Amino acid sequence: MLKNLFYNKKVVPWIFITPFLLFFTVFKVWPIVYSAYLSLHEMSGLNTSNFVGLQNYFEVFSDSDFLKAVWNNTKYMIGTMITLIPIPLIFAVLLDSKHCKGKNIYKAILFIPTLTSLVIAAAVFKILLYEGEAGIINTIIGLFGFSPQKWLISPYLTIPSVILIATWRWTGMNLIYFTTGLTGISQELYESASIDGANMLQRFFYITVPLLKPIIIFVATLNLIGGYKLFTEVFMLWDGGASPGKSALTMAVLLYRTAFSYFELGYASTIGFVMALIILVLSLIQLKITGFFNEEE
Amino acid sequence: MFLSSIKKVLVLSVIIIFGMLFTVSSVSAQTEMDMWTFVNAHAEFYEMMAENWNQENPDRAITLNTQVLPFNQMHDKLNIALQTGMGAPDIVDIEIGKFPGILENNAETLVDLSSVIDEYRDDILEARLAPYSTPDNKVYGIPTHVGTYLMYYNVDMLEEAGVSIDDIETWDDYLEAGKKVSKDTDGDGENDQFMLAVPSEEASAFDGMSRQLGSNYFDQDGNVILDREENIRTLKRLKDYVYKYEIADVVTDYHEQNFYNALNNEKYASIFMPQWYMIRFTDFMPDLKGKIRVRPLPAWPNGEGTLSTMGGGTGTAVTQEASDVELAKEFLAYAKLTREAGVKIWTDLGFDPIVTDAYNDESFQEKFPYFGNEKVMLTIQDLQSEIQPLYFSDLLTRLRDQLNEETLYEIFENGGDVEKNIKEAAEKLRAEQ
Repeated sequence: MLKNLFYNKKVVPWIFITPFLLFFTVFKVWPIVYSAYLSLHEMSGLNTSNFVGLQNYFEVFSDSDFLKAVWNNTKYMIGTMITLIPIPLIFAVLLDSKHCKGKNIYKAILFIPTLTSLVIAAAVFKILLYEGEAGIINTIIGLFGFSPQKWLISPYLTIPSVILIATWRWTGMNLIYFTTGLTGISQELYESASIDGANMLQRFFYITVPLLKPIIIFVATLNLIGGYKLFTEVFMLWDGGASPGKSALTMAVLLYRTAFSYFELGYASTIGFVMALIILVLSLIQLKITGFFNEEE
Repeated sequence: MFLSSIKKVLVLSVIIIFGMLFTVSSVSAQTEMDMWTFVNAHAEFYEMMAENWNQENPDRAITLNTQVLPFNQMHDKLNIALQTGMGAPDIVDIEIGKFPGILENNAETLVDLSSVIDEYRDDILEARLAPYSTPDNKVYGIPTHVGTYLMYYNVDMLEEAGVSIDDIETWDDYLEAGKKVSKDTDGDGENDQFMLAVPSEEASAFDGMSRQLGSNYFDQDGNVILDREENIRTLKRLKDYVYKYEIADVVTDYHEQNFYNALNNEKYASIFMPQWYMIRFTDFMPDLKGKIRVRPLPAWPNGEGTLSTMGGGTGTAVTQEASDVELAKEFLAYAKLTREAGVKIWTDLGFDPIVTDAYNDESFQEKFPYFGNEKVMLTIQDLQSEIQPLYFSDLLTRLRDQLNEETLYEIFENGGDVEKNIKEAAEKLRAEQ
């Protein structure tokens, strides 16, 4: 009987994917379903719950902390769009040039930050960004005549500080995406453009950028998602995410502390769902605008 | 064929399970206890106390398995373990700020320790139990230390400015002394040497002064009292030190290397913090050796309030999951409430114990070269009678976040209005009650 089962073409595939399905259901589907359930309840700890319908959802949109967090995430996301697309793109083009020597060394140097532990990186940046005159970054900007800045204290500089770290950390990764994209562009295009008299800038804007568009969209989408999920940097730079004036409070930090410091699992689940919804909607809008859904011409 | 093999497996597993039960029961002469903490030194302390316990109680010996986990991770893990009823240790250190929240959600999974504490009640500073107790007088945590609030003066700086520290009796005297010692040393028109640093991202300074007045965050029933007149008065005074009299500088907090360096470089002539800050001085500020003196806090003018209060702390709890709840309770009381334990808390951990009699041990007579060869622990002993109970509620974490991230920052860093900011914070918290 067992033998027949193993030879049945309809049943066997299911048997093979059962382990995966089991794990997927237990560790992915179930938590989502359960947190949807939690988001409709007021929880006191894990064990006592009180059904409140959509009240948590109404509350979230009038919660000043949450709105502040969304705005902080947005500022950070815009910041990473400004730094993390042009900078790696320019590096990629420069490293792709045949005049560049020792490409691999540069690539390695730029890629190393991606491999470092974020926890350690944040600790190091905490020292670099020290607000006193003796702070390393303050010393550097002092050479150019700027006065020392309170990087991690002034509410205007907290998000820029996080963007600085993100730029340092993710430039290498995006560089890899762009470099891979560049290898797909045929050299003949550049040659024929040169013959037609296009200069370097024209070749960059009329050949490189349009042909890299799918990669740019991909990187921009990653930036968007990463921007709204920001957690570790903030959590590490300010112990437990306690940034001055809540100027770097993010949705994920708020979710974490609502769940694990204030023990309000219901409300925390609601924050999680709204956060996922924001990311989903914005990603769709972005992909729509950039023409990702257009039929291939 | 298939069925019979299932039978075999079943029979085998039953044999194995029974076999395991048998071995466990025959080996367990010593009771195994798991303990979690977030401080290495605490783990070593409990291991040592377990050895002493075993020598004195060979028939009830325990094997203590301590585990040191990072601060946040340990508290999160504990909370989840207690809520799910799986995986919690027998004994656990819980930081005072985390205690009320964890207790609120897990009161039935933590053990009421009153029965073992009662035996020692007259021999300890009972006020210290309040933060770990519920209004119905159940006690869920045994404190590690008193955390007596003290003023640490840099006597060199003050003498140079012509101030004798023993003339500072009230906060008004402190202000006058501050005016003399605070000055502009590099001639840029702004003070760069101060009497004090006020933190904008932690409440230590506010806590010390408002608790002297018997005020702070919550009343005995857990109601928010943040906007009480005493608190407003405290914050106004601190804000005036910064903005009106310019005797205080604003820093983020007292617990980072940059601040230790500033103290070490004599930027600030004093700081008031609990007793355990002594260890920060000796560990991180070597250049101040011989220059620091420990004194009671200045009194509020008009003789109001006390000369000290308590600050910080760790409550050690027993969970219902303990393999032997009664044994765990007794061991914990032994490790923290006996005279011997009190002495060891001072000699091994460097904390001011809650055991009153311990202060009569000769080790408390020690003179500290770092603190001007004074018998610091005797000053602390004299202050024990000044310490009043302190009450918390499960809103503590939320309240601390609110103060550290918004309210104190607004008041001290931005010079915001005290009354407006503190009232807003109190209202926001009451809405959560």
